[in-house]
Order: sequence, then C-alpha cells, then structure tokens
Amino acid sequence: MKQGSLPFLPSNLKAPLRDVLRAVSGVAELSEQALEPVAQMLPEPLRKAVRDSLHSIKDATRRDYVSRMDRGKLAIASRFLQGQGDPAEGAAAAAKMLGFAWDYLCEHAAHTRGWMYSEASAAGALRKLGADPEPGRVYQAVMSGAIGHLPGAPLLAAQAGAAPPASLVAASILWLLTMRMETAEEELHLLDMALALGRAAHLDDLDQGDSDAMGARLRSLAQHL
Amino acid sequence: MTHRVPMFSDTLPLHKEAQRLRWFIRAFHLQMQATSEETGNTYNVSEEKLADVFAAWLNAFERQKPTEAEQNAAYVGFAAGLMLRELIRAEPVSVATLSKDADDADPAYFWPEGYLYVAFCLNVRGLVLNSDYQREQHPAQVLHELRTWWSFKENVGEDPSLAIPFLDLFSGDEPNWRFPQLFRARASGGDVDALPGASAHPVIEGN
Repeated sequence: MKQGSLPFLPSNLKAPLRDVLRAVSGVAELSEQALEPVAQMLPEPLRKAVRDSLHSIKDATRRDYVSRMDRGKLAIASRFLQGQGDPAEGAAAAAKMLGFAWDYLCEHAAHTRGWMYSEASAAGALRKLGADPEPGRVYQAVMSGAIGHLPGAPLLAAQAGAAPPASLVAASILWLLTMRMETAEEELHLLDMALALGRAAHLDDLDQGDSDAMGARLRSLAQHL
Repeated sequence: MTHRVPMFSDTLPLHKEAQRLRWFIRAFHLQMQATSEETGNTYNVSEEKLADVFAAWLNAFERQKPTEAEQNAAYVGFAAGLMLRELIRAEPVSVATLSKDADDADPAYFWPEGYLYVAFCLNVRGLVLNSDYQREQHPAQVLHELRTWWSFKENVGEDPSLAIPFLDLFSGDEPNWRFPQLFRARASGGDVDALPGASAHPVIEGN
C-alpha cells in the first residue's frame, strides 16, 4: 500500500466512522513502535512496505489541522459550554471539536499513547447533560464515557513529558470555554496554550470526582487563557 | 530600553488584557523582537516555560490582589515585579547569539536574558500605568549602570523575590527591600532601606 492511499479524515464523516479511523490510526502508531525491534530482522523492501502501510493509516486522521478545523462547529461548541444554543446540536458540535482537539494534541504536544477518544460516546454522554452543560460535568461525562484504552493495544510505558488523557480533556474544554481567536492558525496556537496552562496550573491535581471544583477552576482559567 | 509592546484591545482595559496567557506570550515575543533589534542579541524561548511563568505569576497575583480600588495602580508595579521574579526563576529564555559588538560593560550584554526580562516588565508596567491609570513611568538612571546590574544579578540569584524591589528601583519608585514579596508591607508605607549588599557594593546613589 502506498503512503497516502487512504483519504484523510473528511469533515463530513459520521462520528462512529471517525472513531473507527481514530482507533485504527492509534493502533498503527502503537504497532510501529511495538514492531521496531523485530523490523531490524526484515529485509529493507519488506520493512519499507510495512512502514509505508502503517504511515498511510496514521495519515488518515492527520494532516492539515488548519483546513480541517470547522470554525462554525467550534462556535456552536463554545456556545454549548456557555449554556447557550440548542443543546442537542451543541452536544454534537462539542463532541466533534473535543475529538479534533484530542487528535491535534495527541499528535503535536501530548505524546499520549494507547488511549482513545470516542466522539460517538462523547456526543451521547453530552446529550444527557441537557441544557446544563456545566464545564465540570462536561469534563466528567467525557472522562467517564468517552475515553478508554485502545482495545488490544500493547502496553507501552508513557513517553517522557507525555500528558495524561485527563490533561488533554481538561485543555480541550478550557479551549472551548475561552474567547475565540480570528483565524484557525491562532486557534491551534491557543489550544497549545490551553494544554500548557492547564498543566502549569496543575489541573491534574484536582479531585477528578469533584465536578464543582473542576468546573470552577476551568472557568477561572479560561478567563486567563 | 525600547518601548514597543503595541498590545491594546478595543474591549478590555490593558491591565485586564495582560492577565491573559495569549496576550502575555504575544507581548513577550514582541519585546524579544524589539530587544533583538536594539542589541543585536538573538534569543531562544520555550513557550512551555512561558506558560509556567504565567501560571506561577497568576497564582501569586491573585493571592495578594487588593480589594480597594485605590490600591490598583500601586499593585500594577508590584505585579510587574512578581512577573520579573517568575521570569528569573523559570528562565524561559536563553541567548542564541550574542551581538558581534557586545560590550560587557553594557547591561544588555552583561546579562542579556535579565535585560530582556527587565525590558519586558518595565514596558508592560509603564504601558498599563499610562493607559489605565494615566500615570507616567520615569525609569531611573541606575537602569543603565553596570554596578547596579551586577548587584541585581547576584541578589536575585540568591533570592528571586528581590526582583520585585529591583524593578521598583529601575522604574524610579521606592523599593521595599525588607519584605519584597509582600504587597501589604508596601501599601502600608513599607521599608525603604538601602539596597541589599549596599555596604559591600555602594553603587546606588539615588535616582
């Protein structure tokens, strides 16, 4: 299989299909790392074929986050976190944008391995919040219903500097809560800053079960992002 | 030191805008660019460390924020000193290349990172005081004196909180050397002793 022979994640793909691609891409990433010691024993043409196949699968969910960003959905997701707009539409947009943020942060900053975000599960969990999507409850709903270890993924030690899944979810909510920027490039930079600020402010140290405290901290930090 | 941090918002007063990480990072990059043009030095910066600086600053800033509005202008100077302290603690910047014309007797080359931090904090301090409180900042002559910078670098190396009174000194305000990290001590008149180590290095001759 030649690199790039799979289409990259189209924005109009339904949530469960995006989840499937996300999972396949995650497994490809882990497989490449797990196979590395064995790869040395393979002849170069075969090694290259395996490597190209895995890269093409990973590329299916990556590339060009600027053009992939749906700023209309971002605005709807942001309003949802403020308790505004249609709750069902807001929950779907928030689930989609949290998935976008998860993919971006995993690839660019977090070095998180072996974990998966399910957009379909997140949309379901967020819909149940109804018209009261308080940030602490959103955080808990996503953490308990939409984040899990990739089934069948080999157990690998976390890389140095890796952010735990909880940090990624908190950063993504922080990003949705704050004031919007003018361009997609600036939004991505803001997302990087949200992760850095959340980690520097030790959001991980908060009691994850205390949604009131988490919500208050997220709202307060969002004003300073 | 170049005064160039053009960072005004249409919607928020500058002292509020400056409490946002996005503003801080953008303003810091602008200052770095301006200082590079002024000195010929170039710098590397870690944005992760800048986020650490901002988070630590925000914690310290919130902890002592005065409740009385009439103390807000004084708190701007203190908050700028807190920022300088956190920059010195976290060291987010390193020199990439020193100017070919570097002269060690000039503070900009004696301690290039410290010079950048002081330039940033002084410029933000001056801008906020001017735009939100209609006050002028008049930096003191000691800002350009190597002996003061020598003392500054040595003292903050031992106690980063001394960055707060040193920034006051550079900005032409009265420093509080005894309880540098306490705004309350300053607000109540504080203590305006001589510079720490002044007996060993009698370098400050008024401002």
